[in-house]
Amino acid sequence: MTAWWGRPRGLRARLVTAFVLLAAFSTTATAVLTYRQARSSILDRSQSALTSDFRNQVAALAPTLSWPANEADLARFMDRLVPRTRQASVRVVQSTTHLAGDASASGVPVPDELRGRVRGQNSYGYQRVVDGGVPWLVVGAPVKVKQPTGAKASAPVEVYLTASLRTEQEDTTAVLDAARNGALPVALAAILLALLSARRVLRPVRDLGRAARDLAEGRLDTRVAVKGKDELADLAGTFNKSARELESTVEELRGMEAKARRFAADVSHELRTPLSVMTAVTDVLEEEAPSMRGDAATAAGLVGSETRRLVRLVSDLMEISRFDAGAAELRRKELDVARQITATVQSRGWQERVRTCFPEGVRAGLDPRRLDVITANLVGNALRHGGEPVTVTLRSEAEDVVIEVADSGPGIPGDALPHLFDRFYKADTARSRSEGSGLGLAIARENVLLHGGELTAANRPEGGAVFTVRLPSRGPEQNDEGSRS
Amino acid sequence: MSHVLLIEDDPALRIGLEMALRRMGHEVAACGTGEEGLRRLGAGGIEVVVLDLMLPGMDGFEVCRRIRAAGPVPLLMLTARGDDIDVVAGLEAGADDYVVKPVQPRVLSARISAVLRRSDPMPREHSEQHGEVVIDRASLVVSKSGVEMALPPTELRLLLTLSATPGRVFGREELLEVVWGYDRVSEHRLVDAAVQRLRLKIEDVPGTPRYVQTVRGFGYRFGPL
Amino acid sequence: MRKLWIPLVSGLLATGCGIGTAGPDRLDGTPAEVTAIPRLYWVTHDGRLRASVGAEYAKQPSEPSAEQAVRSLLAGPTELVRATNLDTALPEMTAGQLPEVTAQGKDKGPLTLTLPHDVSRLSKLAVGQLVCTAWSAEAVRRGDIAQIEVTLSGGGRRSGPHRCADYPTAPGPSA
Repeated sequence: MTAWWGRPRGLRARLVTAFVLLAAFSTTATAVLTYRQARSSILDRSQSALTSDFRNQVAALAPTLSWPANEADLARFMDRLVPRTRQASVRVVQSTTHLAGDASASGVPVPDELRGRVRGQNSYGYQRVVDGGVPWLVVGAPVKVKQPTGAKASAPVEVYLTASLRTEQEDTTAVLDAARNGALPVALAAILLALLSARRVLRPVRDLGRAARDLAEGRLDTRVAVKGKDELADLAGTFNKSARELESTVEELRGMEAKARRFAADVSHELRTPLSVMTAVTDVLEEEAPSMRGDAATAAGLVGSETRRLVRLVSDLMEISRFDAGAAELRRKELDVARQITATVQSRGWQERVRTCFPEGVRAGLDPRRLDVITANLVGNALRHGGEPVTVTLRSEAEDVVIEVADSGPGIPGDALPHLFDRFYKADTARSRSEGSGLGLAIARENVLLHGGELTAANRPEGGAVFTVRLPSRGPEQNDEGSRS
Repeated sequence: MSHVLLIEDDPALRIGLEMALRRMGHEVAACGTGEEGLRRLGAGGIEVVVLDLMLPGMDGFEVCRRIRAAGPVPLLMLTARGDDIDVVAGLEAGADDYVVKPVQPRVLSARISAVLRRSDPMPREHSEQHGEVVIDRASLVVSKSGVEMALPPTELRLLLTLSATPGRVFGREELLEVVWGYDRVSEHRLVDAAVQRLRLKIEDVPGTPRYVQTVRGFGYRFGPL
Repeated sequence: MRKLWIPLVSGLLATGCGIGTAGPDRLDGTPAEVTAIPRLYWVTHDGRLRASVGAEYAKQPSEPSAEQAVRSLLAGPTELVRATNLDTALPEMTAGQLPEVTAQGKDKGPLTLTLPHDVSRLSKLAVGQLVCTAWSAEAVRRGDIAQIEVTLSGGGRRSGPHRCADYPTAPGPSA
């Protein structure tokens, strides 16, 4: 947000600036008006006193002046005209003759314009001049000389008073100084008031901003204090209401999620027990099948195999649902990768059908149980849907461990490739009755993702499919060797 | 083959497992509660206990602890989930191994055999002294400071394996393979729990182990003292 | 916002000026008057010259002349004059002995006063009386009270030029 002078400013700066400008403008305007008024009144009063006094004095004293006036006459005349209260002097002039008065006493010559008015228009007049920074008032009075008959007409006599207005100037300057001196404290007070006001307005805004950020970061219990009854208080109230609703919605969702997880756990538990019983006894059925007659033997065999399938399916479903609920935990242990994979292959009896190529000393921090699941799923898948021999290779690349499971089968059909890791996807419908539950690859992939790795499938140029598992060798905080010392 | 004590509360599963084990040649004593099981154990003759952790009445872990307290009889747990925290707790309570329900009878039988094999004496004639610990490989007697210790088979096998070559570092996978079997190589919890249980018994200060030492990043070794 | 700057700045500028020039302005009032009357100069007790109004002149509106004024002066102070503590430093003359006084000079320039007696024997104040009286009358006639240089001539002697301003004066009567 930029103001008219083009620099970007925050809200506080804008408020403060506006305030200060307003204060500055009003104080200046007031000061100016006051000053002008003061100046006028001070000046007007003095001037009007000086001019009218002088005029009246001249009018009163002139008749008492014996004309032609000698030195003493003029001296007495002038003496009576000079005001005592200020620096001033009087001059008496007739035409170009300076009759009396020390020309240099005041240092200010009578201005020509005034002489023009007094002599030319035969009227009283006054003029203000400034000399050396000091204003002077010059008042002029014409005195007519009445000549007796037979005498030549006499030019009028002009009497001038030059009075210093220094005092008035000092007085008006004092007013100006007072105004100027007041300006700085006023400006400071304005800034202070502006800051206080801004703070009063901005604090709630800032609080609201902070609360919004907190809310965005997940602290759903954030609330804002509602103070007062203005728009900001309204906004705070709305915010709180929204936060409350958000919090309760999230609580609800979490509750639903927890319920779903509990349900999944409960289902799992409930299913396990009957399945356990069935598993325990189907071996017996299959053993006795040869001694059963006809259909009973077939039934016994079917029950056995389907029970096994059901157990696998339920286990896979439980595994997948745990991933979906986000309840899957990764427990990294420092392990020898080659050894683990070898154990996986051996424990399932696949060592004859699987070729392994493992370098020594590839160690990583991985979840051993999940690594077992990944490897078993991929190798089992390769053995079932690919072709023997199946090759498993291991190598370490930079920060990762790479495991490749390759088969010598027909490879993956093009249309199957994008859906390979989908749940319940069976590439070959003819093999829909195969041992797999359709979740094997999906589970393998979830386990890989949990490690922060990636699982990809491709066809080899020389024929057959290859599945590549890339796992980071270490987690962000390596948790090695379990929690026991 | 062996005399098995089965403690399982679910009647159908109890009957099913008893039948399966019997057909595999084991002699089975089946009990429905922990109290019953303890009483039967006390009566003698049991070579291995198979215990379901989910029991009514006395808590499965408590039963486990009491069985362990009674003697070094091999103990297998039956659990509902393989990655449960209950497995860890059960191992800490003293179980030698565990199987996850539903379990195929032959898998259970193989585990039973494996745990029994741990009690087999190793081919060595004399007894060795390591610090305060004396190991007689022929009679499989271990004593500490002159006092004979009754070690359950898992811990016994673990100690024998480690002390056979003192100072040699055994990786977890190796220990799992030797003691628990090649199909248990991914079960690191088993070896860690067993080591902890062993340390509680033979170490002077379990917090700073002398006999069974951890080698970070590699595994465990016996000594050096 | 921009619009506010202009009155602000101009206001500020205006206040910096202080009291400025003004005018000339008219002041109401009727101009005063003085009446020009040739005056005779007499001597005060403290040795200064002082003017009085020549009674004759106050009454007779005839063309003022320095000769007339001096002749009146030489006639000596009247009782009225003496009553105001004024005296003369000039030798008294009787009416019959009134001298010829000639004044030369017209409108501008110096004045020469020719008297019947030896001007060198006149006292300073006497000279002053003559000079000031002559100036007074001549100033009225000329319509200009600028100082006039007066030379006295008489008895074969000349004195001057003198100016009235050179002599100590006392303020004249308020007419």
